[in-house]
Amino acid sequence: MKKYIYIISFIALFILPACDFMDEIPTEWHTPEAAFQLETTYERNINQGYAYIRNGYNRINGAFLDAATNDGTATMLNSNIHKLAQGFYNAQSPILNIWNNSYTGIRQTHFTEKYLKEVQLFLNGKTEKDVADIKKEGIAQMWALRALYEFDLLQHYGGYVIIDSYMEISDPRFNTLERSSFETCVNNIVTLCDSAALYLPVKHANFGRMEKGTAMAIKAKTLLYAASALYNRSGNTNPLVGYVNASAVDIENRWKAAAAALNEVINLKNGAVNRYALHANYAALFNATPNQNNEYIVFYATAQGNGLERRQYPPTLSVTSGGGTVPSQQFVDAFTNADGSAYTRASGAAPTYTGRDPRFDMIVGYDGSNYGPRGTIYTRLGDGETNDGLNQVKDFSTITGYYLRKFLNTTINFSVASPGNTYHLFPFIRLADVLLMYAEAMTQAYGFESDPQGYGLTAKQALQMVRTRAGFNAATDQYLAGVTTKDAQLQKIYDERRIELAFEEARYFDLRRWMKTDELSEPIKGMRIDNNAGNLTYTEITVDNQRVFEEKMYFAPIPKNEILVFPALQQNPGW
Amino acid sequence: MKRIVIIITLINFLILHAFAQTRITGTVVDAAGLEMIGSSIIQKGTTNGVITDINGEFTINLLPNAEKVLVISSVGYVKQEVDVSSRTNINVILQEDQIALEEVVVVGYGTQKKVSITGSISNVSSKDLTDVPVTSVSNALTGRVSGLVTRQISGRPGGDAAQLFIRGQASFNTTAPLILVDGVERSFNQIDSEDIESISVLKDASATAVYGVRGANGVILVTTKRGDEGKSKISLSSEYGITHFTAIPQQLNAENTARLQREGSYNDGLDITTSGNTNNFPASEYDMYLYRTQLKPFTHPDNDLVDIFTKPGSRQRYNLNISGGNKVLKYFVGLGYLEQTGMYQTDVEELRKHPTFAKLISLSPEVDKALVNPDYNPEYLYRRITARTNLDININDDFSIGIDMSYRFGNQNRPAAYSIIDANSDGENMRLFAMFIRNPPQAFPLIHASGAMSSAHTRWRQNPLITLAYTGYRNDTDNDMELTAKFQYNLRKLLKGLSIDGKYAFDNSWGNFRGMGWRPFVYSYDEATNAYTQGLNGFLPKTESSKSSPISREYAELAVRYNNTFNSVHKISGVVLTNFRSSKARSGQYSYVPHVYQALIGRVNYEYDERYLIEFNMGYNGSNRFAEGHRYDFFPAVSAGWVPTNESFFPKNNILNFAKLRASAGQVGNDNIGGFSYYYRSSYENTNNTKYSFGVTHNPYINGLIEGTLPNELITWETATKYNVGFDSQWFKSRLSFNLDFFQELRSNILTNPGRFIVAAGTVGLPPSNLGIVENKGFETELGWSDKIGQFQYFAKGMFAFARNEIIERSEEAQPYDYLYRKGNPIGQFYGYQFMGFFQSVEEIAAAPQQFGLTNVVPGDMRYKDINGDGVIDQNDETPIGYSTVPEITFSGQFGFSYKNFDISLMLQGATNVTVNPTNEVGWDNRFGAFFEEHLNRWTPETASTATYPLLRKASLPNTNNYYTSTFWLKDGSYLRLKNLQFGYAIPKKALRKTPLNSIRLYANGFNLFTLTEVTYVDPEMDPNQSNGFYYPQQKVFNVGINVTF
Repeated sequence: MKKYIYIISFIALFILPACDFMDEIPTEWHTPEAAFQLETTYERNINQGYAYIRNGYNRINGAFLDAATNDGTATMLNSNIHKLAQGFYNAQSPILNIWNNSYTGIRQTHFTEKYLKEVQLFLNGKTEKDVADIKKEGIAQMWALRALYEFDLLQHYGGYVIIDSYMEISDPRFNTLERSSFETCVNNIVTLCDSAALYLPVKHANFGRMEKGTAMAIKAKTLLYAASALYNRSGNTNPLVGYVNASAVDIENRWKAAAAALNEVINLKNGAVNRYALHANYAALFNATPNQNNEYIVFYATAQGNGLERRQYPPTLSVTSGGGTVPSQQFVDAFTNADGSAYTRASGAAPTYTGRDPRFDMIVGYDGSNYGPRGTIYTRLGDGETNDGLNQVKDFSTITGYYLRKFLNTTINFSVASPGNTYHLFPFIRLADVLLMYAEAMTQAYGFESDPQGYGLTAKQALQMVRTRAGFNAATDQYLAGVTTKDAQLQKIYDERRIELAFEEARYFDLRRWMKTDELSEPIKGMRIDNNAGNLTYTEITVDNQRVFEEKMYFAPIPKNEILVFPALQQNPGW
Repeated sequence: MKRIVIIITLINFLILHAFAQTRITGTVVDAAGLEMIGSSIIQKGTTNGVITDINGEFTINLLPNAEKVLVISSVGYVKQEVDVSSRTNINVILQEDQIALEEVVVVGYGTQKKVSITGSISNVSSKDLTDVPVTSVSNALTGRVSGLVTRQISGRPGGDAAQLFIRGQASFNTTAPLILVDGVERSFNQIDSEDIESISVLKDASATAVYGVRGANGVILVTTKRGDEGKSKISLSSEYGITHFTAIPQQLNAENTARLQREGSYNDGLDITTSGNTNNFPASEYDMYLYRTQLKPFTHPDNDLVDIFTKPGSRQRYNLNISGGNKVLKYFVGLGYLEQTGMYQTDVEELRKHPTFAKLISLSPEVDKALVNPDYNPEYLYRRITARTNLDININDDFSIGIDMSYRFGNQNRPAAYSIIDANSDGENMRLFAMFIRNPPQAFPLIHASGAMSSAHTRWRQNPLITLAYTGYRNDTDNDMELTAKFQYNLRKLLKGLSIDGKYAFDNSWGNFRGMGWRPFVYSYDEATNAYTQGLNGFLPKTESSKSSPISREYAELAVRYNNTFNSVHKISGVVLTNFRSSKARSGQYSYVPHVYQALIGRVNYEYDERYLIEFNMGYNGSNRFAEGHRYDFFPAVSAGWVPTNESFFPKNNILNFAKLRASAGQVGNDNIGGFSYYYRSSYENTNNTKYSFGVTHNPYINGLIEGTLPNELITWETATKYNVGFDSQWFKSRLSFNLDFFQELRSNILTNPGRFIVAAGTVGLPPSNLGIVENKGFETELGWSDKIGQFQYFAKGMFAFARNEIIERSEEAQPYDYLYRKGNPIGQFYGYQFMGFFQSVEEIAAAPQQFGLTNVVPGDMRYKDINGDGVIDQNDETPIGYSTVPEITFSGQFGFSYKNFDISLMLQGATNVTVNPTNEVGWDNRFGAFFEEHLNRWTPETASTATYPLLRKASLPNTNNYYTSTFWLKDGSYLRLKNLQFGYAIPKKALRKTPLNSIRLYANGFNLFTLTEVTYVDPEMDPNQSNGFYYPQQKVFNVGINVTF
């Protein structure tokens, strides 16, 4: 008996380590193959491609990018937006760092594309061809998204690193990545958009997805940028930041290409009617129910909410915060009179808030401004002073004497238990933008009032379409009165862009591509209003006199870490 | 039995008397003069022996044909031989065995004589553990083991265990040591310290190599008590203590606070006239008058929150141990009960008695009506029941089995404090502690005159009355069941010295909780308009919850051991052991996937003539968290020792009576690389957090699928290569002992997230890889003296340990300046700006380097050093400042003496080369809240030259000029503590003679009694992860107790 015990024990001693108990490994994680084959989940992979589209409503510390232009500033004193506007940024803390986000998005589009191609998919009630079409469309969505992410890189950095396929961790290309020229990048975006447009539907039932027009608009805007002054500087020798040795003919051809592409977007047909149309009401456009919004082309779509109102309402209408991004006095002065004639205010004079561009009330909150159901707000100091008054509550009250009224839905009411929610889709490209870009390109290519290509729309007509929707009467509009030279015509288009696209991230890049950067270094002005027993006195104040623009700021710095790790990546000039 | 003894004795008496044999009587006492019961008296060379009785007395009749020498012995005392050839009555004083050279120490998978150990192992005995009135055993280890750094980061009843670091830290991953109880990986914190026999701390590679992939951070072996052959021993102990916070912030009074807040608003250029915005803290001199006089406590209160809402806590512990046994069965049974209450006052009846509330009640009948206890108990309470049975059964001479059973039941109760659901959340601690540092004393009355619950705007959750008494409760129960069955078979019939043994253990832990949350409506009040503003919605009792998260663990081991001596000088022993461990828990993505370890372990010891010692250890381990082919590895270690004092050439002398030199080298691993993740698998996670949505409703967000961490098949454990040299010695007849150990460790393959990768490739991050390298070295030393002068015994013992690590490689992000790399610095080294004083003028600011791009820097703000000289203060100007949060130097001193029945002992314990970084409300002046003494000395234009604190601003927010991490804010975390003080008195045995009692000991002791430190509002051992102080504060304990044995 004992002998057996010995024997068994010894055998056990050497068997135990021989058994492998290690086979129990996790089996419940998601493999892409499994997830993308499932009817219920295959779309998630496609959906994820959209997750990196940026939301301009909270770009930098909750402030709009436009707060770093002469259109406005932000009430948060230590917000990074001020550092951006005042030039306190560098490659190590670039502030406007979209490098990471864009490339994460680009990788996701490659990842989705790879698995859409590789994985076998069976869908209920669908033929093999249906599935192939679904896959094709999914891949086309990825191309369009990649074009969007790449355009974002282009407008920030100039030439960027083109990643053309999914990279495994062991990919040798990791060591040789470098930036492509501006020209190559433009061509890459155009190719992506052209390819995507082939497979994308004109109108998607699922609002918010990439459509044919989306791809076409990204392409058109890219071409417009490519034709712009910044990228066609004479004597430029750095291919990363624009064309080298651009001739006048090259430039003209670029404007023509842009005009053609923009025209295609304007005239994109959904059946018999145009796919895109201007929304009837400028103010309501930004809170429109998605399926009734035919003006947005490229945008950030998200669920309903009221965070924007909470942040942007004047403090008396918000709960705990308020303020945020606020317009400047020079922006207020930029609005024309109601008849379209230029508004001028003598230095130090009191501003006029009535009889202005119809969009003024929809964009700017001022002393005595009507917030619809939320009543009237006052920014004056002294008698009847509220927290909305200039500098009343640190970080929340206005510092310019104005509030941003645009985008806000004044049915949102924070004084009741359920304040309500509204749509806040942030537009990157909408039809009004396309029309104004078209006007710009046409003027540059062919002249303000000619249409030699037979597009059916002159620059002037495109401009007027936007102004008519804004509430101007085309018959009586004084806007173009006496405007005859090309430069003056272009200036009118630029001015219209400033008002129409205010706080939509247009001006930050427009001023750069037009090379009108003097405006980026002008001090930000505000208006102090004192109320002494009903007597209002107006004092113009300087809110920020440290605005800076330097040559290098045309382009954002590539994050320093990236350069330090891969010296082959060339930094932008001056950084 | 007794009768037989009497008869035999009588017979002996008759017979031996007839042969005129000798009868010897005597007493045996210990050094303190106390009678020694149960000492053995044997006539040398015979089996003739007796045992001392309850008075320490004995009577023995000597056999005529043997030496007339008596051998007197007792466990733990030095054996004595007394020649009785010329005496019939002797008094023997037995000396405690000071050297304890024969002491057996628990080592990895076995035991070893202390004298023959060549690795670095420290040992703590049962007595040391029970001397300290703590709830978690880990806190009793503080200062007892050289090289063991403890940090108690919380004082929460039931959750106050200390973090342990053996020889500091050598990895930026988990550095927690492996803890085994009776050879099985288990938690030891909630074991009743009366149930513990000893704790071994294994420090070097030689001691830990057998633990292979899990031993690199050191190993702590806890051994529970077992029964001994002999009479049943019953021990009953009972103690009661009261607890206080070791440190709590004491606010300034209402008037001072109001003045400082007003000043902050003023400095920010805000309107501070009373007509202005209330957020600007306007206050007139009339307001100040009201704060001072307390004429209107509902509108101008002055609440001393610490005084109102804290109370002494209590702690009581009862333990019953029964042990004993015979040749067949030995048993140990332990039963324990512990109850600890918290130090927050949750009882409304008690609160009503406080003068602040009493005054409010007297002013308003509505307050009287509103202040009633809720119908549940929200108090902090921890109760623990422990039961243990350790049985040893000898089946025959060669075969024995053991059955150990342990069960622990813990029950924690606490106020819900707005966070019922998160079991381990510090959410509720945050609310509780925050009330002392975020609520200014004059912000709001605790309750309105109308009886409505009160708070100030924007701080609706902060009223401590509501938080403590009126938010519900949470009650958690935890169960731990541990079962072990083992056998041992002596195979001497096969081969002398050979034996085989095995063990199987099954542990299961589970728990659940019940909680209830509710809260009343909270209002603020405006005196001017006599209007109440509702801030926080109340709701009726709801969210009753319960869940359980079982963890089950299995462990099996089988060992063959050999132990023999040849020619009485060659001692050879060895063990070959194989084990398996599996643990299943619901944890994260891989819930219930067992974590499996397997190992083959071997050890050989050779000892020549107690002079030369050599030992080989090896572990061959595997872990299933790695990819196939990377699962197993081999960890060898070798150590050797030399005892020169045993050499024949070494002169016998009275100075150095024992010395041993030892050295070890080896490799150990650490696979605890942050959670139990399967890094070799790629992962893809569903997400609904895309924030993007499709369609018309745009709600909810679209579901996405994220590419998770990329796989890294090559991932493996950390490898520690450790060297240790040591010297143990005993001097002056073992009165003085001195030990010294030097160690050096190189930890490589530390799993770390690569910082160097190109973002453009689109990988958000590369998978963790084995890239880190850390070097850790230091020394530890112990010096002890013990002696006695008559009945006066005393001892003194000091320990000092130093460990410093340096990051050799960490795959950091690229940095523009070399000094920004963490490489070359210790793990956790603080980085920040160098404080250069306060700006004194606008001109000075204009001339100084621009700070962080801020345009609102004013005189009184802090000025920082421009390290790189580029004229801008930014993150490139951060340099290493201070130390890390784990002390490099720890030390302790123990002193004690006893005289007759009295004994006193104390321990001073401390740490230095450590930095703490209190932030937010415990570090800075508070935006809306409390102010402290140090803020009185702030910068003002008048006090510019003497100010020790910057200008007060209203907004103390991170990333504003003054609140960057800088030398100004870092505090030296050094401390010296009266960790432990104990008085004992044993009732003289004579007084117990007529009772069944064997001994009674009365004692009073304390824990954390007194602390010297620079850290002000919080304990210097504050949780570094809660730098804002949001945790349950540490406590000091005053305790009295009694121990009775039968």
